[in-house]
Amino acid sequence: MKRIRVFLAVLLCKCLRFRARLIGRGSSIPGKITLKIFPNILGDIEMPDLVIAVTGSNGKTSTVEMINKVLLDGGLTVACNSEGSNQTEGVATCVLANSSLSGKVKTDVLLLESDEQYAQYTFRYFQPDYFFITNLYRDQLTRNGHPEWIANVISRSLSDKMTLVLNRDDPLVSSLGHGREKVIYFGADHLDSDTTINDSVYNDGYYCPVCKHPMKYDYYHYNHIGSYHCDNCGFKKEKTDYTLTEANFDEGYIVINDRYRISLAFKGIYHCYNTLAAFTAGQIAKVSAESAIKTLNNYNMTSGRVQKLVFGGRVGTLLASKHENSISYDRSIDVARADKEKPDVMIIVDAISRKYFTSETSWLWDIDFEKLNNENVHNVVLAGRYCYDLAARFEYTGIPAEKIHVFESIPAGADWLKQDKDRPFYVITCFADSGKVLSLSEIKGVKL
Amino acid sequence: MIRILYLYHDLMNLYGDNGNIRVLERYLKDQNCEVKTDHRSLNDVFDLREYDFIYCGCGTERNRNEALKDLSKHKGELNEAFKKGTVILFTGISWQMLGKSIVTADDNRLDGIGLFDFTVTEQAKKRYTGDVLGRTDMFDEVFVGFINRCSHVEGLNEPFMRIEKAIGNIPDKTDGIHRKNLFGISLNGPVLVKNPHFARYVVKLLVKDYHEIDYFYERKSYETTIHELTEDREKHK
Repeated sequence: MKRIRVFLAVLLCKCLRFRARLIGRGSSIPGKITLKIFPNILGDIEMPDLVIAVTGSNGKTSTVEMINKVLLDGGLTVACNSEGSNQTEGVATCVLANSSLSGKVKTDVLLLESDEQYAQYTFRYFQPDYFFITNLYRDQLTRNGHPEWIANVISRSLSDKMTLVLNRDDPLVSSLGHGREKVIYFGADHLDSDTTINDSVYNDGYYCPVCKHPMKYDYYHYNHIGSYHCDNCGFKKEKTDYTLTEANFDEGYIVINDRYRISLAFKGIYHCYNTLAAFTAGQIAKVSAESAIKTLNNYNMTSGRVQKLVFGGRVGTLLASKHENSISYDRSIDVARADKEKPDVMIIVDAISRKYFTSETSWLWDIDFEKLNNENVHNVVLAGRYCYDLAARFEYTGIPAEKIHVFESIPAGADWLKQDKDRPFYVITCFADSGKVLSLSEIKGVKL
Repeated sequence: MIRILYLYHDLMNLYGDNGNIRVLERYLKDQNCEVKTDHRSLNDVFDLREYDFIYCGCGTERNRNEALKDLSKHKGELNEAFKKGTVILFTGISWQMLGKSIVTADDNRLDGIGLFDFTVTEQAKKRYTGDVLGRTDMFDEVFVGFINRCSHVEGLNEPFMRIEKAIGNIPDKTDGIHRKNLFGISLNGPVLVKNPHFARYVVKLLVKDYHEIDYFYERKSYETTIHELTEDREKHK
C-alpha cells in the first residue's frame, strides 16, 4: 500500500511540475496538490544521508544559493528548493520531484530553504540532519509577530536528532542552542569594523533572551549582533566552530578560522555571514576547504540584490532590501553612505509586500535613516505610495529639508535623478518594489 | 516645562514605538514649550507623579511581563498620577498591564496593576495581526494602525475604540481603554504619527496656549493610510 501511494504521489507531483514548467508557473502548486491527496507523503519518502535546512529572517536565499554551489562544485548531487517556495508545498515539490518512483530522494544531499513559520509543519514528517538558523530580526511583523515569537515557533520544529547550526553572534538565535548537545556555532571574532556602542534606533540585545536581565556587549558587529554576555545567568557569546577571524572591507576579503582567505565580490557584513555559513555547510558535507574557497571566492549572487540602474545616462545602483525589516535597510544605508563620491539616495516604499496587503509603516521608525545625514550623501529622494510616511520620518533625521525631494510617482522620482549626471546614486527599496524601478532603467539585468 | 517619561524605553519598543516620543517632543517644542524627557527602565529609580506625560510602548509578551513586575512597584504612584489627570498613553500590548490579571501562554497568572477590571488570557499558537480602522466616541476622525498580539481581553466594559474594519485575522470588535487622561490602545508603533487628530488632542491636553500647526506629511500619510484601508481590495484580486 505504501509503495503504491508513494509511486502515485511521486508520479503525480512530477507530472504536475512538468506541466507547471510548460506554462511557466511556480513550483509550489505541484506539491500543494500532491499534499492535498497524500497529506503525509513526506514521511514516506526515503531521505538522502544528508539533509540540510536553512531558516532565519535575512540571508536564507543567498545562503542556500551559496551552499548549493559549494556542494555541487564539491562533486555532490543536490536537490534544492531554490527555484520555488520555502513553505511546505515548495519543499514537497522539491522532495517529490527529485525522488525515484520507489520513493527515494536520488541526490546525495537535500538542501532546503525553510520559512521560519512553516518549519514546524514541514519538519513534522522528516527532520533535517543539520538546521541552520542565520539570524532572527524584526521582520515582516504583519505575519511574524516579533522575533521572540518566531524563535518560539522555530523551537517547535526542533528535535534532538538534528544538529543545529547557529549564528552565535545573534543572541536570540544562539539561545536556541542553550542547553542542547548537538550544536555547531558560527560567528565572527572581533573585527576592525566593530563598534563598542550600538547607536541604532533600537537594540534588541539589551536584555538576555534566556533570563531577561540586562546584557553587556564587548563589541557590536552591527545592530545587536556581536559579543554579548549576561552576568546574571552566564549566557554569552562563546567560541565558535567556524569563525570569521578577519574581515577586510578595504581590500575586500575575509579569513575563516585564521586559515582560509576568501575574496569578496560584494563588501557587506551580511555577505560575510552568508559566506561563512556556506563554508560551514561545505565542511559538514565533507567538501574540501580548497574546493569551497574556490567556489566562494568573488562569489556573485544570482539573486540580484545589487543591480545596476541607468536613468537618463546616469549610472546608479539598486540595493534591494526588505520592507518591514529595519536591519536590512540599515545595511543598505551603510553601503550608500560609505560612497565618497557623494551620491544621491532614493528610497521607495510603494507596496509594502507583494504577497499580502498591509498599510503598516511603523518599521520606518526603526531604521537608522539618521545615518544618511552624512557629508557623503548629497540629496535624498523619497518616492512611492508611502512617500509621505517616509517624509514624516525623514523630518527627524536632521537632514535639511531642501535636500529631501518627495514624489508620489516613482517615475517622477527617477526623472528627478536624471539631472545630476556627475555623481552616483543608490536606490534602496524592497523586492516588492524593485521591479518598478528596474523597469525604468535604460540597462536591465546587470547584477553587481 | 513639560516632563515626559518614556517608560521601559529599551524593553517596550517594538516596531517604531520610539516615534511617539520623537514627534511629541517636536510638537511640544513647536508650541513653544520646554520639554524634558526621561527614559526609565527596569530597576531604575523614578516617581510617576513627577511627570506630565507618561508613555509605554509595545513589547514582546515576555518583555511586558518583566515590565509588569517592575511597574507593580510603582502601583500607588501610577494610581495617583492617573487620578490627578496626568496624560498617560500605553500602546501595543502594554495597556494589558493595567487590568486585573494576565494569564500567560504557559499558564502563569500575573497580577495586573488593577486600575481596570479586565483580564487578559494569552496563547502561543496563533498570532492576531492586522491593519485596523477604529471609531471612538471622542473623535470624529477614525483611528488607523496595526494590531499584533496573541491575547484575548475579557471584561472590557467601556472600550475606547470599536474596530470598524480589520484587514488580517483580528477577532476583536472593540479595543482599548480610556478614563480621565489615560489611554490604552493596542495599535503598535508611532500611533501619534499615524493619527494626527490624536496627537493634536494629546498636545492640547499638555499645553496652555495651543495654536494650530499643520504637519503636512503626517496629514498626507494619514490620508494615504485611510485611502488604502478603505479601498475595496477584493476587486484587485
